[in-house]
Amino acid sequence: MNLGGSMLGAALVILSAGMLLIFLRPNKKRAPIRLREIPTFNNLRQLLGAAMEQGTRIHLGLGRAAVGNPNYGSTLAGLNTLESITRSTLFADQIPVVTSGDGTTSLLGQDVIKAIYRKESTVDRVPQDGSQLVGVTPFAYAGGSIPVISSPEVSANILIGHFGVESGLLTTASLTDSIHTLGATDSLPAQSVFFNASGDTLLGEETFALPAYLDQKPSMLASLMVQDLLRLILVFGMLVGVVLVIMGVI
Amino acid sequence: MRAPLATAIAIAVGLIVLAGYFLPDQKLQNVRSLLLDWSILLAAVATLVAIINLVISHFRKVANGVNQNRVFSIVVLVSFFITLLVGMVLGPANQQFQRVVTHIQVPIESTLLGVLSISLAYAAYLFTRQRRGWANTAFMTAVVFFLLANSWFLVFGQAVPVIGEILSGIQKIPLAGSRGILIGISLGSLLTGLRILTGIDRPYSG
Repeated sequence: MNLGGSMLGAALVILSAGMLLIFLRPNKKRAPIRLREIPTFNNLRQLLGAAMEQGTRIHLGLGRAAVGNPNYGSTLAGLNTLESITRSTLFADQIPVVTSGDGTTSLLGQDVIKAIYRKESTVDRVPQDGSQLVGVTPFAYAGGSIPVISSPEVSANILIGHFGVESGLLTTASLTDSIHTLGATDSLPAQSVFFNASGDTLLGEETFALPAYLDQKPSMLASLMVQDLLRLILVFGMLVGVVLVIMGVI
Repeated sequence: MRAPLATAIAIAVGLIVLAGYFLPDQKLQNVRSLLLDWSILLAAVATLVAIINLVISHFRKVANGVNQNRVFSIVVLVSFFITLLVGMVLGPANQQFQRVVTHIQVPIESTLLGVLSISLAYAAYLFTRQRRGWANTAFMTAVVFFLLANSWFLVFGQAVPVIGEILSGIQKIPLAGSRGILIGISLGSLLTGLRILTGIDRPYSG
């Protein structure tokens, strides 16, 4: 990366971190944040409620990105979602079943479930079988996840993380077993597969909004606000760029 | 705050790696690459732990599972231990060993790819049947339109001056759309990373 690019990148990171910390500070004068209505999130809440009533489990696929991979951001959003879902289903004592294609993600998933149980549950036994590494290549991951999705104790399928076209096998397994699927990913090919083959799809930045909609934690809401502001800044910058190009300045 | 030491280490390491990405200082680069090497080692150990967890989970299924699950788990365990044993005796770099593994893995994955193409065609058929709204009609129209616009069908128009430019502009529309989605994803990833870097979110209990 050249020096100009580095400086611009560093400035964007510092600006984002500054805005995040500002929005995190409690301010009584600021109007409460109203989240845009997205039907997918309402469907997800209904799915969670139905799973608790029926005593079934939610399958959460965290994809196959490895730690250090540029695509790991969506897996981290998946771990945030896992935290929210585990908290939501805690009273029913039916932990989500998590699958991933990376060893570290698998351990982090187990750690998230255990941390919630240790902190918020009155149950002494911390569940052991919450998170599984099912395969480290794309098709091995898909092949290992299908028996989990098809298991009779699973009533909904949430795929959030980095996937490829192999996600088509996961959505088809859900279709065959009449299980509702919500797909959210940072990968464009997988987004098109989800749009085509899953019940609900989150596109683009909506993937990262999922934990905010489920939990409404101040940190998540602040993060959404910063995302929106940065998007506005980028749109403004692009428009200025277009005008400058048309005028022949650059 | 729970586990303050783990949080402090995570934040410090994250900041050093991030600073090393932006600043060209050699000492910082050395520390950064050392930390990244350590992270690769830790990830390898984590994978080993996850594999042991997988094996234990399948042993449990063999002990408690119903017939079908038990058979699948036995197949997984037998394959795993044969591969492990042969890999340890011959070594993972052995040509014969690699050939055998590849000749098992590639046909299976190719078969899954074939199944995937049928699955996606079936899902597309269901999509057109089940979802009947203006948005999905627009989506299907756009799919057909761009398939035609990017195929041989309109290739002759490229040579005509004005039509060629219009076609070239149309062909860039999907690219612009995908860039828009990617910008949203990048901003989301940036903020998710920053929440961890500042210790606001911790996907580890410490």
